[in-house]
Amino acid sequence: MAAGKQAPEVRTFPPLDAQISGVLKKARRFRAGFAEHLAFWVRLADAAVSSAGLFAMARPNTQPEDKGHDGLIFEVGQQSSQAELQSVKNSIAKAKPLVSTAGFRNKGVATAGAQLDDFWLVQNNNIGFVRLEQMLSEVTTSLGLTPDAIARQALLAQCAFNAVVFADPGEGTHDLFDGYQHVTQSALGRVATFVGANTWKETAAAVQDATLAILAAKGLG
Amino acid sequence: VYAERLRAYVKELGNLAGLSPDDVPLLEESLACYLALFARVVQGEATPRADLLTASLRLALLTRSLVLSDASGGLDGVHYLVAMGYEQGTASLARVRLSERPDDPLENDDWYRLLLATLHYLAGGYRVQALCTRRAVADAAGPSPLYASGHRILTAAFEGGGTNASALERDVAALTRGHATASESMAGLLLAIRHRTDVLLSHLGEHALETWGQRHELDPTGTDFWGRYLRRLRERGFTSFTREQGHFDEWLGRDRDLLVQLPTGAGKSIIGELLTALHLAAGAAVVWLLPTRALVRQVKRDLRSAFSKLGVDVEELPTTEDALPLFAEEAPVHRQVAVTTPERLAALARANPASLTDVRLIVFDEAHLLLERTRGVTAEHVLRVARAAPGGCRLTLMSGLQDVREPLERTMRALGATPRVLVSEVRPTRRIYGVVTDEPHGPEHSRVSVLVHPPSSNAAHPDVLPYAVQLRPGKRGPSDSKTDIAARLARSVLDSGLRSVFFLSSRRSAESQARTLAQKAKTPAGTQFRVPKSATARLRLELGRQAVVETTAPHRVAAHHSGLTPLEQHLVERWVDAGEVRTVFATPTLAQGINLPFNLSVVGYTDRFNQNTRKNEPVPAGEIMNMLGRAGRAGKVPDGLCLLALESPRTDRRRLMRRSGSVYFAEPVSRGAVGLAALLSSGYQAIGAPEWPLELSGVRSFSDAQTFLSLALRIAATGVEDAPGVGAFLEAYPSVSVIDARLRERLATAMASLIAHLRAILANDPVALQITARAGLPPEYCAAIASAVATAPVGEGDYLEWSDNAVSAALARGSARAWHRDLFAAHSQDTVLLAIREWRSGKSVSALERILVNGKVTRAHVGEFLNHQMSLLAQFWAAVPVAAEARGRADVLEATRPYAALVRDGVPTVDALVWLRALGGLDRVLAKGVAEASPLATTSLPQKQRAARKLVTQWRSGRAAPPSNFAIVLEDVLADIE
Repeated sequence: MAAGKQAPEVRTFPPLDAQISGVLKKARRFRAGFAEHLAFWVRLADAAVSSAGLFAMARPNTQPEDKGHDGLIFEVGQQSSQAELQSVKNSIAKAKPLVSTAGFRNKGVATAGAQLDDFWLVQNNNIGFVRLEQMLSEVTTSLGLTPDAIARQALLAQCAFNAVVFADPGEGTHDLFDGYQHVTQSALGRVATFVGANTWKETAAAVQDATLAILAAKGLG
Repeated sequence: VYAERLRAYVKELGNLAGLSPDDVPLLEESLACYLALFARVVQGEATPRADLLTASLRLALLTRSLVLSDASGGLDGVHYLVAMGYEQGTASLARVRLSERPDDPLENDDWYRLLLATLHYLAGGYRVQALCTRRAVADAAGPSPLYASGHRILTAAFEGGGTNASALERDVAALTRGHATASESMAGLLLAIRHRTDVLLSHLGEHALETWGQRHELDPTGTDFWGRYLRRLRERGFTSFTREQGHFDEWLGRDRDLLVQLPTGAGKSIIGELLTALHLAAGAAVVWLLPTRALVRQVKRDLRSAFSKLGVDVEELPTTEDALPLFAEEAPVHRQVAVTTPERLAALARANPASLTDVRLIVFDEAHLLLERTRGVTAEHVLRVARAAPGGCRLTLMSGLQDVREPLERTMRALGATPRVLVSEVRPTRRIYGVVTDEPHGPEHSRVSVLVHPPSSNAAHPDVLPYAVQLRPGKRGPSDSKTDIAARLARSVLDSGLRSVFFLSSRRSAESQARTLAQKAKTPAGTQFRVPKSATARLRLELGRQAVVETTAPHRVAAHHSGLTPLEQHLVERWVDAGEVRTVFATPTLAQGINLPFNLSVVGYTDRFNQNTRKNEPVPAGEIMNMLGRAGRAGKVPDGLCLLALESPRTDRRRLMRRSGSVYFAEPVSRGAVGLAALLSSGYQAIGAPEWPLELSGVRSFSDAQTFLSLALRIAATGVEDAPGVGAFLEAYPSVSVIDARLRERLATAMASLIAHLRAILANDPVALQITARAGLPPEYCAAIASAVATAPVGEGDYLEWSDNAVSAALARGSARAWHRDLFAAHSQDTVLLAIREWRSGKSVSALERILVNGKVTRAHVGEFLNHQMSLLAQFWAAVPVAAEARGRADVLEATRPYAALVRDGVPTVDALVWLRALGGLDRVLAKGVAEASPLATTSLPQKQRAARKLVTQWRSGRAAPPSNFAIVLEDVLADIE
């Protein structure tokens, strides 16, 4: 360094977290993560339009393969509140096997991995409690609820499942969510969201490309 | 149906949330979750369906609310409800595995929820309930080392939050890495537990021992003892007390008497233990009274765990309860705890009046024994004697029954005590009441249905639509009797892992159902219970034949009734406790004070045949409830499913619920008279008749008659004979002092008449009067024994043959009397005496069966005879040494003193008797054999006892080899001994 001359400012960017980088660069993982994040915003946007009271949604999973439920929205009211557990799947081929197994659709026999089967396991086998606990903690913190108010919401809450599917529009058939009745007898407890993207594979790839381009422009990669 | 206490907790939660209790759905949802699990294990279908997501969400939020609340709490009930919710919604039911066991314990949902349940219970002060969930946590754990962190966290929680805070933090961090909320939940609950413990133990003086010792007038040694005891409390995990227990200032003191009314398993024992520790700290001896030997053994074990490490001896009084007891020289002394029955303490006090000198506290558990006619008199007598002992003795009476507070309090006041009263209705287990029935399913099929009263059901509305679990349909059987319904349910639960007891009305029915179920069971060889060879050898030695349980136990089924030998009953109980036998068909014998970890109890009859009226009569609601109460066990099984088998009305389930409501919502029958007053009130109309002392009829039992005879002559021995004098004597008994004056007058008149008639019958012979008073046997019999002893040969050494002949001849004198007819209704006197000789010679049970079994008398009858009649008949031998003492015949006295014990226990020699006790009291034939193989060289009884106990200890530790010909049998016996 020459004397009397101020060193030029050097801005450095941290390298991307290896796991995040893995999600961004693998098409299949990106699609899954993208679906989860998109579902998060879709549901929040829906709540912003439809909810009469306060609401909050737990952050989506960091990794698309993370265990447990993909989302939880909590809408708070004085006399009632609604908690909706969300599971997100995406498909570039056949969506139906991801939604439920044939055994579940026909006989209600659940096998872990398919969306409705997993809901059944939540409903009957206590699967995923620690993730549920984590998400509830996030939403109650976001909502700024006092201990008394949390107790009140605990007793007022009504629960529902929301099966969210991203796929090509042709996959959104009338029988896509067959077997949902095995999860819960309450019709109000069964929510299904189909997001048809034309075509889903190309849509996700385009977003992936754009994302990587933005990051590259910022020196992250 | 749900305890009022749970409703109070719901109200507490409602207050916290600002909601009406009606808007708190926790009980209903929790019950639905529990029944869903039950349905799964019996392959049935539950309605309404459980909503686990909603239940889980509520619980997780409530945990968060409690964790964020001030740790100083006041929310005990909310902690209880949350813990209950976690517990009832997980696989703790029958320890059923519903999920894999992932390496990360927090991904093991059952494990994690049960851990949270345990922490919530402890945070609310519900230690006994926490013991249940802690067991379940251990059962649900996987092999990953992270589970060990969870185990250490729970150990610290039981110690009141742990003593090593940084180690605990490390364990929480290791367990919850990546799960911030789980970490917060655990840390918050541990903080609440620590706070609670610190407050309570500081009330017990933990942080200011010296001041505490001064306040309780303890010297420095006593204060040091108390401090060491408190450390033992922590080590043993006794750091959590319920609200009622926690008010120590009100009940913990050496200057007060106490009446404790808490349900069984709800923490009576720890109250008695704390009082015991305080009196021990002051250097006193303490006596615990229990109604049965089984309970004596259990309490001795518990108290040893509390006090042995502090250098305190906890021993069972070795005394026998005879008129002239054996082992009467061993009395409780300074800083010692003696555990015994009222009868044995009475015998000790009678033989050794100075034996209670050092005793400053008597803790009487199951004190409602005072309300029993015969045993209540002895219990009352013991309390009087203890109370009058020099130095004074404080009383703590404890009972789990709700309807006895008033008579017990009255009795204590009459004894000069002004008791503090400690009452709680918090049961350590929850009971879920309902019906099992058989509902039609199409024209040819039916299905067993379990219908459960919902939480909203009550006495005013017993017919609320029930929660239901329907089993798989099957072909309708030829009969749908209650027994058949119970049997069909038994078949369904056999493979479920549930431990179940089915109460049937007869021994025959219990045994045949057990055999049938075992025969029909398709238990794969790999899952059969392999009855240990040592246990089989033990049974064969005692019985001399194959036991029924040998054939049924491999299929995890057994019968339990009063016709089985104590050894058979014991093995069934042991195997149920260990989970090896899961389905038991029983008669009400099993309901009498035995606590086994049953998940399910079913009563298969609601009426029974009365021999006296020759009619079927309804079984009292209290008796049914007592049987059903066998389901659930403090510290082991949190929820008991209690079902009444009822035939289906085919149409309306509500009708069934209404019918069962008459049992479940029946008002408890108030209990009035206690002890002597109860006895006198039941029989005074009969005893005044001139012929009564000869016939002894018109009272409820031979034991009642004995007590009347004995009491009348004890009164006479004080020089009192007329009705006013007798009245004054009786009035000294607390129970009599408080009854109506006119009734008391009638009782006194009847007793005075009895005294006069006895004097006339015994021709005022002082020896015969003394024998009758002490032995309480028919006066004609006592007079005959008195004569026989007067003419007994001198210096015979062995008077056994002579005694047998004397007893036989004296009994024959009463052959025309009612008592003799009753006593020998099934077999002639000669046959019974022949059987007694065989029994006393230490022969196997089958030798007696060869004598006693005939067309009318079955093996089960013989078992009942051995269990119940033998101790009564033994008393006829007990009269002989009493007569010898009265006649001054030391040689006869010395020789005949143990004969009654030999007859009662079925062994031929005193050495065999000593061995029988040292080996646990169940194996007579073995005791005889060991006595022959390992003679006890010493002479005095206490020395023999000590020598036998020492050898047993050496055999157990392997420092000495047991007699080789009994090695296999002893393997099982020694494993049984604490």
